[in-house]
Amino acid sequence: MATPTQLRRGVLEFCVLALVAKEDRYGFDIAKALSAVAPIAISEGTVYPLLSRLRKDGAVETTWVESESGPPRKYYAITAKGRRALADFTEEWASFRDAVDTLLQGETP
Amino acid sequence: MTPSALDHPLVHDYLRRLEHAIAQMPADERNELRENITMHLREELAAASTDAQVRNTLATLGDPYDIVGAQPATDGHRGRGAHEVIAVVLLLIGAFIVPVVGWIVGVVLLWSSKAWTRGQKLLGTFVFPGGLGAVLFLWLIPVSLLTQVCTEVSNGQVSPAQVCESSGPPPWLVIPLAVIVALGPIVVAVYLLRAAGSPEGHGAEIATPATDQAGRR
Repeated sequence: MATPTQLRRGVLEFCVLALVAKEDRYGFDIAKALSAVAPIAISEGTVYPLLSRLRKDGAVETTWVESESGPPRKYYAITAKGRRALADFTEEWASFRDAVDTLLQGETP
Repeated sequence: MTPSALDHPLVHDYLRRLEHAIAQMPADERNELRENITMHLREELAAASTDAQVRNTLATLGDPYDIVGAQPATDGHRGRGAHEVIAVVLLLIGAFIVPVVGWIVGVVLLWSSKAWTRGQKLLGTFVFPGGLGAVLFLWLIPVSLLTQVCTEVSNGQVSPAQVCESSGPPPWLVIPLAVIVALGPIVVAVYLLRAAGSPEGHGAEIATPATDQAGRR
């Protein structure tokens, strides 16, 4: 049976994807943004394995950008494949969430 | 010179713990995560940080083992297992066990392992193909050149006191060169063994973390 942690991680990958869908962001920024929204869900560091997986799956791509205030930063950008995956997930998540809520609230027909 | 953000002892401990936690991962994933975490720390600790700030940063970043646990299951991950040790041994002395084939098996094991990056695998293959076996073979050439010249001279009608005429390189050059050439594969072998990561099942050996900022475990 999937533990809450495993469920969280499967979903969090798409949350990370959603964060870069609007604009390209760099790792540190994504880590902070995610933990700001869901501080108890994960520690900041766990964002990085998720980003690696997304990159390997072709959902995001990385570019290095020079920064005046220090070393170059690795920016993540969503790809077309990533957008499709996110769109699919968003749809699925909505109906899944509704179904689970219904069952948890004991309102089964 | 401004001190590096990563010079703090707590950060050192954290990074060391991270190394152990990532030892089982394939080399490319290992490098990527190490790079990302290091960049994160550099970014967050850029301004001069108090102990409390460093502690807080490491706590919010999370325990390395939890972070690594977040790694989605990949197709095989290992540190230095039997596969890696045998690969290195065969690369080095495989040619003595079964000429040519022994070394080739070592190369196959080298490339099929997930513990090394491509660059490391290229190093293992091309720093003296044939390992020590080839090195020994190479040694025989200059040595035979030297002795050959000497005996020819003494077999002739010339007086036995004739000095050996070396048409090859002089001994004082050949011997150190031979030593260096032999060291090449040995140094690479040691490097590969260390680069492969911690032995599998290493996790339990880690000393209880004095650095566990969140007080977990």
